[in-house]
Amino acid sequence: MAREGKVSLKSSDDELFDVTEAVAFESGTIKNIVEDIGTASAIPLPNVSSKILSKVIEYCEYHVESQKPEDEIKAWDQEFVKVDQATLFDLILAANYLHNKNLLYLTCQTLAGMIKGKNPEEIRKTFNIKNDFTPEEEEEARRENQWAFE
Amino acid sequence: MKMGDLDIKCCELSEHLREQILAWLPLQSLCRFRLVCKDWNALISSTRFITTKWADKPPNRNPWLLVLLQGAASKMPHSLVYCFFTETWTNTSGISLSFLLQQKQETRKYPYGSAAGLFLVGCAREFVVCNPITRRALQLPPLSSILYLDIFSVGIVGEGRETYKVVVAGKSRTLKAILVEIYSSTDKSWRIAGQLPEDVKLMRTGPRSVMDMVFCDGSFYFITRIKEEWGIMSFSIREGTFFSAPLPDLANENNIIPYLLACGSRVLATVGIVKYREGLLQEVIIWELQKVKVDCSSSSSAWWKEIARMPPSLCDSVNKSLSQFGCRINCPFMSCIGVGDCACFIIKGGMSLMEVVFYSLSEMTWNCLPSCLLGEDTIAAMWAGYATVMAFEPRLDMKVG
Repeated sequence: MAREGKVSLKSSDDELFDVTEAVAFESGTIKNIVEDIGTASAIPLPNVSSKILSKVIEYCEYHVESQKPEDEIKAWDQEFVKVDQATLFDLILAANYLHNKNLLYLTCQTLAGMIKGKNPEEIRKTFNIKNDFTPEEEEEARRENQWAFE
Repeated sequence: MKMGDLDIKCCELSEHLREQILAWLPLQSLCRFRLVCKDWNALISSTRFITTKWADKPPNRNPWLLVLLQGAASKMPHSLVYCFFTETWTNTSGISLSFLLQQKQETRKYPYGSAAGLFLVGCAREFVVCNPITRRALQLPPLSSILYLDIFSVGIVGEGRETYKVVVAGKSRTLKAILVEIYSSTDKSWRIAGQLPEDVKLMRTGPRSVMDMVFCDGSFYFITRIKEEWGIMSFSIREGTFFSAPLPDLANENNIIPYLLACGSRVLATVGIVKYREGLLQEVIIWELQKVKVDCSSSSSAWWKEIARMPPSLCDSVNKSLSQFGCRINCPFMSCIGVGDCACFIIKGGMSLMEVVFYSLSEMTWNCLPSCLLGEDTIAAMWAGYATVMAFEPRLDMKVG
């Protein structure tokens, strides 16, 4: 049961997190659920583990606080996303599921930065993608985009 | 165990999330990743992705300043690109004309302009439209009436998100008149769109014999020289009508060459005043075209309003920088173009330097681009006239036809 002005969130592994309404409503998804069913019981978030949910809450708590200089926010964000690739993936999925636009932008931009130097084969490994080009098609595509490989 | 978890999550990346991530990639990475798989190729080359998701990201919102170099030394980069967001210059072989008409390599190619990520190039008296990113090119059919050698002005303009038009103004082969012909990428043919009133005689303007065409709000503009006076002519593509106006008085002083450029929906004229004896830049003035409907017979008149002058401190610093290398200014500008909302002035100083100064219309401030390290070959190319400066927005998705 949540106290006044607080929302209780339940992770996929049944851990409970109490946060203020302001922090909870950074998520569009949570806001919608609360508008439907109120804050009397915990909001279940079956797609988000406790590990990731606590990270998301950390992000929201920082960003909900009033007026900080932009440089400071940028620096904090950069530190926040210094996590391993698996956690970054999970954060992207969570930000998407929870409809937190800023967190989604930050995490997607970070992942883009991590993959931008890779070649196609490395990308396929990272995202578990099958190469469905025929050798001829691949050769032609490679010739067309030769400059991008230099 | 951990690798297994990672695999499962990778597969969960929906198309929507994939888009979100790819939208943050720089152009070169994006082009490489077209080879990942067919889905990725289709997504990356789609107009919707490029013009909304990718173009939305801050680094991609403004066009680049592109210096397209041609010919001579193979070690020379094909182009220099300045990005206003990252505030850096890059040498790249990525954007070039070298893939065009391989068998006619020695033939001089004239880039006449760029729009919607395409170049319009004149080569061996034909027009070619090409996308330098996808390396696709289309040779346009021959003009129906205008003689290639009697072209006064030519340009390319994007229309909507996926189509373009090429516009040519020149003397007709058959009629003793100056016509406008327009090629539409949807019709894939030329049509005669208008004819200049008979009493107007355009003269060749000198060193730049084909005048740059400037597009703005459904009309195009080019500079004219009629009876020793500088002026502009504009043609409304939709209404098929011409309109002419003189340029500001100052443009008619000795040794002053006016330039025309467009920034968004604003048409600007500019002159650079040079103290030729000292080889120094004295002043740069920008006027904006004000067009107003005058009377009920719907004949309109136009005048120019001065909107900016280069501050003396900036002039001094340009002169100082050039003289450090023993350079003199012999002619004010190599080129003047609008890039986004910035009016850019490319100043060639002597044999080794290029300075770029710009005026931001939205912020009403003057600024200098960081210097660009140019190798000897590059400078030589610029001096030989093998360099063209344009605003360029890379469009992976744009098709030539």
